[in-house]
Amino acid sequence: MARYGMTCDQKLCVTCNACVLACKNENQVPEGAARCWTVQEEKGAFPLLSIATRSERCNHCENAACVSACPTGASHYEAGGIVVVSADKCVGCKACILACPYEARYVHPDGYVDKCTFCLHRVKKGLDPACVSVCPTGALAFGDLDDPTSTVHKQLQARKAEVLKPDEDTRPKMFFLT
Amino acid sequence: MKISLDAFLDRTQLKSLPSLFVSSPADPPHVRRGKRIAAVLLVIALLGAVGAVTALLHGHHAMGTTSEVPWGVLIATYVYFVVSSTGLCLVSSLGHVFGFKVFEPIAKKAIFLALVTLTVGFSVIATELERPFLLAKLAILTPNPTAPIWWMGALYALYMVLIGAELFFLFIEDHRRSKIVGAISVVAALAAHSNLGAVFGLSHARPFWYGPLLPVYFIASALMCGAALIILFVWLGDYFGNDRKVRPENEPLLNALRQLLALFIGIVAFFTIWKLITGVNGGHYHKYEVTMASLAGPMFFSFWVFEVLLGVVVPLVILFTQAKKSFGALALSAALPMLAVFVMRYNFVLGGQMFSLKPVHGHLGETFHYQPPFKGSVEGFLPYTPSLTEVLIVVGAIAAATLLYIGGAKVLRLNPEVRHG
Amino acid sequence: MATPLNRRTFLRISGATVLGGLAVNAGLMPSREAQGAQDTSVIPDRVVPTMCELCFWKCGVNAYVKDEKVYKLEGNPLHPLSNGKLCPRGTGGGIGALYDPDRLKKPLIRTRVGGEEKWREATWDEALDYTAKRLNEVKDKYGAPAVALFSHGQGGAFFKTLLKAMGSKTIVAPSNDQCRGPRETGFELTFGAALGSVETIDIPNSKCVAFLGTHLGENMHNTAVQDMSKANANGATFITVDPRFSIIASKSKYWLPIKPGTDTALLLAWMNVLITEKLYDQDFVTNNTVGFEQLAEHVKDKTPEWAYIETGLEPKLIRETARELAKNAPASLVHPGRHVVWYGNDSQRSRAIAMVNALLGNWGKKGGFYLPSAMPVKGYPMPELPHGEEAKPRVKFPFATLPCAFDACEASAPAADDPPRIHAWIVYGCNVPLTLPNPKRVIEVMQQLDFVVAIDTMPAEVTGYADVVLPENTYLERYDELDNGPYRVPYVSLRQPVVASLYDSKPGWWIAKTLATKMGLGQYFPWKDAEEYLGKRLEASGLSFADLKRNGVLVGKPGPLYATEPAQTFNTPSKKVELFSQQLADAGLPPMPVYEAPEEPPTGYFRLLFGRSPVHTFSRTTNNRKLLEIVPENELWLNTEMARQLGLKNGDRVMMENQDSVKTGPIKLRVTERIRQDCVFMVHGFGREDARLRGGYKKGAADSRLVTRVKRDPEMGGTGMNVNFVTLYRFQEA
Repeated sequence: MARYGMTCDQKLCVTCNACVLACKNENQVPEGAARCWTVQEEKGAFPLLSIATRSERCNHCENAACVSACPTGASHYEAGGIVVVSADKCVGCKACILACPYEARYVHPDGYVDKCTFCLHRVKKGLDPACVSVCPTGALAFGDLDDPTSTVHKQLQARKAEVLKPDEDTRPKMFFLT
Repeated sequence: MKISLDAFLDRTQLKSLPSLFVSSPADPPHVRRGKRIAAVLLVIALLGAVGAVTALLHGHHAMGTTSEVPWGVLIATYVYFVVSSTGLCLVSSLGHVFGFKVFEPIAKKAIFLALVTLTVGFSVIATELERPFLLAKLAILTPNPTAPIWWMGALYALYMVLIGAELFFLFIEDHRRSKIVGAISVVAALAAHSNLGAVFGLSHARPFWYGPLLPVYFIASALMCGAALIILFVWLGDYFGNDRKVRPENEPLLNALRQLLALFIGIVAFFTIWKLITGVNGGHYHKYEVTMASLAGPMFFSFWVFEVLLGVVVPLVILFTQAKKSFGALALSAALPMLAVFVMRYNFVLGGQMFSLKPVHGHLGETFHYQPPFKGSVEGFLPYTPSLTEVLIVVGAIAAATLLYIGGAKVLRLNPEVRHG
Repeated sequence: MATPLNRRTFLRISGATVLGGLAVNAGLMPSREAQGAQDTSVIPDRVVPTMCELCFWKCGVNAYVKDEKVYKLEGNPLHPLSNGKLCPRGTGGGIGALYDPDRLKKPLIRTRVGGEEKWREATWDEALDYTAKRLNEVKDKYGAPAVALFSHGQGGAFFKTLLKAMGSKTIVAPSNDQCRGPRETGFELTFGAALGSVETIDIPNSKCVAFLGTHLGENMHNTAVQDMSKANANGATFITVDPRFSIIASKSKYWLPIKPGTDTALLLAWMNVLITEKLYDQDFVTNNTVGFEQLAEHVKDKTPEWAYIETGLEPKLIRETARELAKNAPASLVHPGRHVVWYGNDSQRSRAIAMVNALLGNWGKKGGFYLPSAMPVKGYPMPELPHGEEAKPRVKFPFATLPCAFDACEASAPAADDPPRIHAWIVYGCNVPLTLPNPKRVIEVMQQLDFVVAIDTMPAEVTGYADVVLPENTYLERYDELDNGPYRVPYVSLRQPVVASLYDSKPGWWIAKTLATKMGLGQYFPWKDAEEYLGKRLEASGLSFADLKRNGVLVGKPGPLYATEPAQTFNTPSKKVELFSQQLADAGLPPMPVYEAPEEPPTGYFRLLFGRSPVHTFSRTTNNRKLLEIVPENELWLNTEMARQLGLKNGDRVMMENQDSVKTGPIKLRVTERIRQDCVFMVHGFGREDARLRGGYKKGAADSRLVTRVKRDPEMGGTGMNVNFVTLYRFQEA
């Protein structure tokens, strides 16, 4: 069984936001909401400065707080560990939004809670998620973490990576290469 | 069965409902005033219904909630009503379940009001959900037992059935069964309400809520609300039904409640103090920021004036001085905590959401810039203002609960009769 | 004879012309019910490859259409500029531009109604007849050169033909003297070749790149960023010279926070180090350059210690970076930049950059500057164009190979006792008041012209002062001139309609051709329509139009990218790389770059610097709803310490006032450590002033307003704009 994950190479990412816009097109994300976003983390004082640059989204955690918190099971794990919301089962209680340490979810105008799906509909056709496809710097990669031939697997073997808020014990599957 | 169904129906007085709002010449001035207030409450309750319909039609578009602050005043109001319901069940159980005779007379009224507040609370949260009926259906068909909200639904449904049955047994004077059901409903109330605390307390992502404190604190608050509400409905009954004087048979009850209320306020204050100390000391960004917001920030006024002054200090002072002598003062010392608890629930629900979880300033002086800019991305603070619909639902719900109580009390003849000549 | 409309007041394109867009916008997205959100796929009806126009890089784009609505844009994997990737503007902005509710929808003619000036909608025939009449009047009265064309974009080609057909060569592009001109001059004087758009730099194979002011990553020219990223991934060393800690600075091994305006000192010091430490490519210099001895003498005293005093950069750092560049040569280069009109000595600075590159010996080398190739495409057979002339500007620059837009604007107004030399403007796709410095002046000039016609997709500021406004189709609705490089591989790329025209707007080729016909010049547009124009040309060049329509691009076999012989030929008078330029000496200009210290800001003032956002293309996109969602306004970057001294906080709104007391604002402050204390920075193109641009109106502030002073480049007339200073104060709401 595949275990899907994504890497963002902070060395390459320039926070251009092509990923944000590609995702908005691909998934018809409503105005005012974003399934992914970019961050510039600035450290230091002039002239000794550094910036960490990355593109963040739902981390498709292996121990997802949102899945635990959903009373109807609308938030669930799909094949490969992709966390998805079944809109037809979502009652709009928003417990998942409050449970998520990463604030990755939003309320869709149609009344259900929505978020990044790792473009499951594309993955099923053997394509990369829209954000990974568009990225002009090649900072994003997606694949089966357990497949030794996948880019993400090889990157995580070769390079140091971090996850967001490791203390939350959510076991995210979105990794940021340093 | 001790009483037949016919006799049961005889006891109700549906025809007497209009007299709640319409004064008759025999009414003394204070009763007339009261009836006018009741009429105003009716209008407010109807406005609340308008709000509820708007909410059902337009969902989250009619609310002031956002994706960043998804739980607003309606959730706080729901918690307020169920804490009242739980408290009424727990405090009144001292009488007809645990055998403290002084509390026995108020059993029916307390359980009735517990049922009313629970129903109103459920109605409020139904307007908050996008698809309330689907939740009811899926909670049975595709439950998720790791979800505190699922347990909340299940336990409160169970609790509702139990106090419904308890009320029924109280009405038909079956004291043996009402005691058994009452005991089970106490357990259900404790489970359901502490679980409600856990809905927030298990939110590991939100340090302001996370921890074992909340479930226990909720029970303490419930006890305080229960005592206060009982004082208030006794006052209501005697003020309007006994010419503003305490009925002699209620004196020992009120005396006991006065002391209990003071005790429970003290317990709640004790929990609050420790909550604040751990918040200030803990240093964790989210918890510290919210605690400081209460003590010295945007929530300063609502915390110090409503939660502390009106919620603890003034009631305790009155309870230990005037309340022993003045009926009105006692009622005031019960009304103030009820007001304060509403503010407390609001501050508490909003508190856990008022700062973004996305870091904005780091421990090492890092600053974070986000694109697209999300609300709160400059200083982390996420604003929330209730919409008109939400406000109407809240005031409408309070008015409706009051009316349902006094209407029900009249129809079900829960008050001892004003002696006709 | 019609009276010229003097003193044009600014007219806002009214709401009546905007209604249609709302309807379209409402039905924008293919509707989707709350299905199980697993399947968010939309099956397109068709996917059409075309060429993006959100900026002027011209990436190949695949446009996805469903129910006659474009819902997705992706990079064309076959196109060598996109390689299947796309920048944020191309990705989201194309849809935002097509469905912009504020778009121009019908031709408009300015009329006077009861003493007030108003727009009147007109038919194309009426608008073009009127335009033809007025242009012919100007031509008859003042001569053809009195008609000027301001142009930017592929479609400009058709209007250039129109002008030449009229007999005018007064064709100006602000991309020359407001952008790249000095760089081209600097490189032409040195290497005999301009670098063009899609600069011929072999960054993907570079081991060391120095960026002077270039902020790739915030500048999102697709291929340039892809190339930089490849080099980055391969462990290339980056050196960034910038007063601001840009994104590329954060990925650089060395960041040189240079004092603004002193880059030439750094370049001279680098030359000094390369020469004194004998790190330069001796073979290349021997085989390919002239003037080395003069250069060595010239930079003898330009030591890093000398440069430290001017630039504020530690001598050790200057030496280390020079050595780093040399260590990796010839796969090492100093990036030539793109927008270089900074301080008025920009040709000389660009020449200095060219000369450092020459010392590194990287011309025609892998990792340096490659030799491009272009796909030859034959022209369309047509009668010979008349011998045209250019209206004489009042100022002429010795090395200006192209006319200057700034001088054309000035020549359009009277000066002292000299009447205007230009009396009519055709403006194609270029928002002149926000592009040239000092919008107030541009507007003054426009107001007294005999006639102005503006062709655009949006009611940009320039259209508010025109006599006739002609709505053009966005790139998704039209054919256009082909793009055939040059690039590292020869290609020809097509722009073709993806959806039918949403409004009564027309493609540029049709507007130019119809206008020409009405002016009696139809013979210079002998083709029936764009398909014939393009089809016949491709056929004659042995290329398949059908293949091009299907794939969007045809790619040929590249020629040699790198020089095969150690001795190359250069298109200079000496046929070599001119480290010493006799041409410049003959024209009385410095034959080798000379450092001039920049003016100091007055006390309490900061130097105003501006640049790019990755999500915007200046005023082209600052009304684009999709892009505004990501970056809704520009911010003013101010150093933390300076903010503290001024009592200002991050997020405060401030007003900016320049040395000539011109104000703009309010603008939101970004207080940061990432910029020097002596300058401020903002993204160019915000602060829209037309209320009909409902997306961008009053969002952020307009830096152009504050560029009231320019310093002209003596070589080619580039308008150095970084010579304005601003002071700040907190904005008080009225």
